[in-house]
Amino acid sequence: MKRLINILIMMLVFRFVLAQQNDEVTSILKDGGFTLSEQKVILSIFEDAKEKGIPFEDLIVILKEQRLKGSSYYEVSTEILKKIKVLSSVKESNFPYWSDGNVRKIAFYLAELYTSRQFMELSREINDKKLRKKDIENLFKLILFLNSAGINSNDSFSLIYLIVKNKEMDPSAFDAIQRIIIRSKDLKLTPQQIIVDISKQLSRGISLRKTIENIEKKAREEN
Amino acid sequence: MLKKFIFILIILANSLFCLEKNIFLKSGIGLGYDSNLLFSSPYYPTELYLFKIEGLGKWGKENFKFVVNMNSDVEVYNVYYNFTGGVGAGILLLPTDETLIKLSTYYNYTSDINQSFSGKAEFKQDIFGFLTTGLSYNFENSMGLNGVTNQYYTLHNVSLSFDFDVTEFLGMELTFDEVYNSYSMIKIDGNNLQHNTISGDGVLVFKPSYNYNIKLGGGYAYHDAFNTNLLVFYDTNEIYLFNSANQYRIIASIDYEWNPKIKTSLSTEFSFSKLLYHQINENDYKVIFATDYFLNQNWKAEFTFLYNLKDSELLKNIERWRITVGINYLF
Repeated sequence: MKRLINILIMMLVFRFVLAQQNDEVTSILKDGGFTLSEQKVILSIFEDAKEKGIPFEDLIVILKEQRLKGSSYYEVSTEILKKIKVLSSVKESNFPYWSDGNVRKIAFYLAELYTSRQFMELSREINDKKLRKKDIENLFKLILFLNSAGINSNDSFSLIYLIVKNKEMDPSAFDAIQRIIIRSKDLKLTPQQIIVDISKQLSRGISLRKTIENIEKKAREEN
Repeated sequence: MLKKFIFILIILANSLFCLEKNIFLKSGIGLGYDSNLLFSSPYYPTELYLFKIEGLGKWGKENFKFVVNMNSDVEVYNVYYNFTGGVGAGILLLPTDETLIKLSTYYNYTSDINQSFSGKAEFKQDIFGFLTTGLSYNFENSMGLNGVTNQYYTLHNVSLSFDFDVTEFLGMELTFDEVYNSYSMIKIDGNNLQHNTISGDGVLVFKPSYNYNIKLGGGYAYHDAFNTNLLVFYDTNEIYLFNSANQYRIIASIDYEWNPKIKTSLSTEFSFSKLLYHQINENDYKVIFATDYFLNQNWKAEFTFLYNLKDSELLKNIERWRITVGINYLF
């Protein structure tokens, strides 16, 4: 009897949360000046996403962003559908720590940065190598740095994939990669050359530590 | 004939520019102070105003590159200035990932001191993934500009090096050098002064982490001047350069990376020389402290402090310290 009451209470709470989320969507949509039928369509997209197990809060963020931009009904629904597509591919990939909002954001970013095939390969490798949450966060910082240094997504993918594959998760190794990129002009090498070179050596099974040493040495020898 | 020549030049230049090219330029300005600019007695202390331009261009494919480089340094002191500039060109061959062949030439001009022309052939080979062997030959011909006789010389240098990992955290560098120098304006019994040096250096490199490495090493050099006369030049006062001598060296250095943007290094070098045919010792102690700060890929700040003490039984004891701060823009 007690167990039944517990279950009932849990169901009620769950129902309440869902209703609240639906209410939040409805109120955002009302604020955005959408007609009743438009609101219904968007709500049904949300319901559909819920069935696919896509977290509500990720979609609400998009909805809020679009409302701030003052987007039209078509733009809002397209953006949400796009997000659902990426999120469901992220979910399919079994990206680890799915329940963690921060990791989910990282996975979402990676799914947008890399091609879907690259993203799937990377997720599989991350799962295989049983990366810790902290490793994924450190890796993400490196990826953001590579982006800011103008490394294209294909070269960035090759490097990140090989780092995960060789399980080179020492954060000071990531610092060392940043270091040679920041100093690339002083070493008289282009960032692109450096990344391609690191990937080439990693793919031959050379340790990241030795690779970085080799590149710094090579720069001295060539100039 | 001239037309043909220009035509060929244009074709060559065109084909060069069609290849993949990378050009790096570095220009910088700096300020500093030197307590004894000429490192001699009497001391000449001065403020320093530094201007630098460095350039390097590479054209070619991944395994074949033309390299052109230039350097220009101007140091302005409180009553005069010094200009050092040079241009060079070379070919870099990387037939495999393990092999490096480099042929280069360089012309250098140092105002009021000398102008020199040098050439270098270098071969490096990685073996078994942990050993790098190197062999190089270097030639230099110098002509003095101020009438000082020891600035006229021809130098040949053969160098053999081994660089290997003992473990992942410990490396070793061995270098063997043979330097033959002929001073065309210094006559001993009617002949040019010849000077031959055979030296060996060994350095242990401890690299416990990505952030720092420590080098400890030493070396021995045997200097042979093929005569027993005592020769002293106060402007280039390393006494072992013109006399027969035994020389021992100790070196130690540490490089530390605070973060990807800041690097500090401290290096020391002690040299102990003893002349063979005269009861004269000369010891030299040098300490250099340097910090590089990279604001981003384009801006680099440099700080350098140098302290040098020479304790000589022939010359007076002299010391020098020099501090410079500079900011560079990297193109």
